Amino acid sequence: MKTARFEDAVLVRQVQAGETFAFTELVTKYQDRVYNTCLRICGHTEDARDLTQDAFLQAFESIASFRGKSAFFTWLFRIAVNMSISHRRKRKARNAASLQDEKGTLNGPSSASQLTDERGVDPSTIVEKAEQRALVADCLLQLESDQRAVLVLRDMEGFDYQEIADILEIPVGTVKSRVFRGRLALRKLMIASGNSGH
Amino acid sequence: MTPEEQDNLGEELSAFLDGELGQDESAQIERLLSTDEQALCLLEEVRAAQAAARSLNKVPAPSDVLEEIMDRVERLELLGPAQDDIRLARHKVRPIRSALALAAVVLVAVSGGLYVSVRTGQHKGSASLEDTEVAAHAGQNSLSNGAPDQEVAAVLDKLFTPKPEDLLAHNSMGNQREGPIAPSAHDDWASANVAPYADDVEMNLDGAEETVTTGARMREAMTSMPGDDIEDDWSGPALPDRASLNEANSTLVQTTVPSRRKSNVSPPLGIGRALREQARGVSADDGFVGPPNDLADNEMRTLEQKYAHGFVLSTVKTHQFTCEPVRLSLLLAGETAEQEFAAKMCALLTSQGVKYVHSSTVSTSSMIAYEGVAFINFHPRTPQERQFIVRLSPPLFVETIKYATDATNAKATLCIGECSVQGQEAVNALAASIAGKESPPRNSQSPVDEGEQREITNEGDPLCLMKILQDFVLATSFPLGGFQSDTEVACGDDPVKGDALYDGESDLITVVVKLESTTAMMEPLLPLVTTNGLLGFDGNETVIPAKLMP
Repeated sequence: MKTARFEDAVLVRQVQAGETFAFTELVTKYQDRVYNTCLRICGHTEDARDLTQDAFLQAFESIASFRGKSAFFTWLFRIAVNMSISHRRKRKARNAASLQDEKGTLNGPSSASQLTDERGVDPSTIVEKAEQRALVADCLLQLESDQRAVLVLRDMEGFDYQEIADILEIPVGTVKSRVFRGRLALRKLMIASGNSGH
Repeated sequence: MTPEEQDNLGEELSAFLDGELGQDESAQIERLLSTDEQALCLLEEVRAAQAAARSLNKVPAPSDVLEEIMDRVERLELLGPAQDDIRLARHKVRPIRSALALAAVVLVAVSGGLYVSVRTGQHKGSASLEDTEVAAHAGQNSLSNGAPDQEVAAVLDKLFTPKPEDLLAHNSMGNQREGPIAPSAHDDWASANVAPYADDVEMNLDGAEETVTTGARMREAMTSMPGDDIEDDWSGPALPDRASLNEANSTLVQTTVPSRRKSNVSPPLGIGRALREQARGVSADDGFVGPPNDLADNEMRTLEQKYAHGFVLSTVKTHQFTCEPVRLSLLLAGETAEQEFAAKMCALLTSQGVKYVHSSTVSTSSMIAYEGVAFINFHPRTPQERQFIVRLSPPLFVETIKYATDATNAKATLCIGECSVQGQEAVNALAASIAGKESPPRNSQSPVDEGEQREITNEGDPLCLMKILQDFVLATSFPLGGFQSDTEVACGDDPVKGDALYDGESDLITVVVKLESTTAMMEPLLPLVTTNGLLGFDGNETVIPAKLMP
């Protein structure tokens, strides 16, 4: 991580010096994770795509003021998460079913590699797992935004508590609490929807 | 167990699962789990939720997101934040698009129906086929007029002229044409939009005489750039006067620089390469068949030197060691003059053998995409608009790194300024470069062994940074003896010796030579740095704190 931060710092300095091509490397490096985070928080592929673009553009616009007090990725994810949560709130009225391909592309056996991994497994099992993932994704979207954000950052993106605290600008203790409460809420939603997960 | 106690336990269990507890806390939880079934049950619930969340696929970003982002970045740089209306308009556009799409479907259906009616003789309405066509055209117009992004695209199309074929034409003209460049539609547009720079930046590629005239015009235009009227308050060491500068220039220009193309134009570029070859005693014969180039009368080169006024090591990347060490950064005034100038400059550079002209914010980067040696960067957001032309010499850079590594116990990653040496290949290349010098590196750790990386660290002693800087000053005979400071600097801010920026968080050391940004002050420094292998400066006004000025 230290090396990554160092690399990022170098790239950021280059961008700040006007070398825009360095920003390409930053986008390349983080676009998948930012997109995935936006997608899991906002729950809509097209919106996630837009949010990803907006987050990077916001970062680029503000990069002159980025002083490196925190890591670049922390700063970038802060922008992306805040945008996604804000976007989700604005569109809360939207039917959660708008996660149009949750049962297909998002959580089904979307990649060839995954299919390969699951070769030899009963096709019905694959379908069942895909359905379970769709259900989990649906339950995740029903969580409170703050809980959903910490779960996405922790369980999907693998950030530790301190990094999550830095991203969300909250104390580590709050992260700890939200992770637990989020997991508990997710568990209850799963059970209520008939999926114990066991 | 009260709900509050249960919550506290749950938080601890959740953190335990995530490996966020210390050894003592973990041991405590493990002991609890071995005796408390309720805690074990809660742990399993949390674990199930954790596993469920982790089971979700990681969805990669769509393949074209990168391109879209960089397109918008480029647009943002060109047009400014207010003009990047994609973000603002996106959600507004969708309903409009939907409505327009619906209207289009209806229109097509109606017109199609009418067409079928006419063909089959079953047309019972009053509208004629011509009427339908008119309506269809009207529909098309409304479609195009109603989509904001199409308007933006139209604006960008206009801004992004000249087209590649224009540049290619300019390039070929530079080598073949006899007369002046014929005005094109783009020229008409430019002359109407980029005045007063249109005349100043016009370059005639037909011959040196014309170039001199053009160069003089350019210099005249540039001399009145913003910031040039700032009074110099230099109180440092005595600097050479104009006569010394000219003498040094006359020494430099005796070098004959071969062009890589047949051209009757004296190439304004290649000084760095020539000097490097001269220093190494390497023949510069690369098959050049044109006349020898006398740079003495080259106004472009004079212009370059006149407006080169800064030096930042960060502009050199390790992989450029074996490349032509030319980096051009042009900062120009005006919103659209940059486009015109970029086109002209790209044409000029490529006609002179520069194989790669990269413009980070101007679409010409995709127009002229050769192998990379030169860069043109525009900084439209920079408040002080200036022209920079920069030439960096790899030997100097290697020397600098050598001194820097000598001064410390380098272990992992070497970074001077924003130039990092990362990766085994790059580090080995650097080590080989250093080892190839006549004087072996004083650092016993060089060259780097396989698998080893080097790092400049302060080793808990900020004074080592001072040593780097002092060595750097000694190595380059650089008279200023001042280095940029910053709030994150770990060492002192002695205005005489200078200091460096050391970011402890990222282990990033930035060595920035402190220079005043006024052109007039930089001018006398050129002979000094050129005699030390540095062929130019790159300035960045934003990193020069006034507080450190002597």
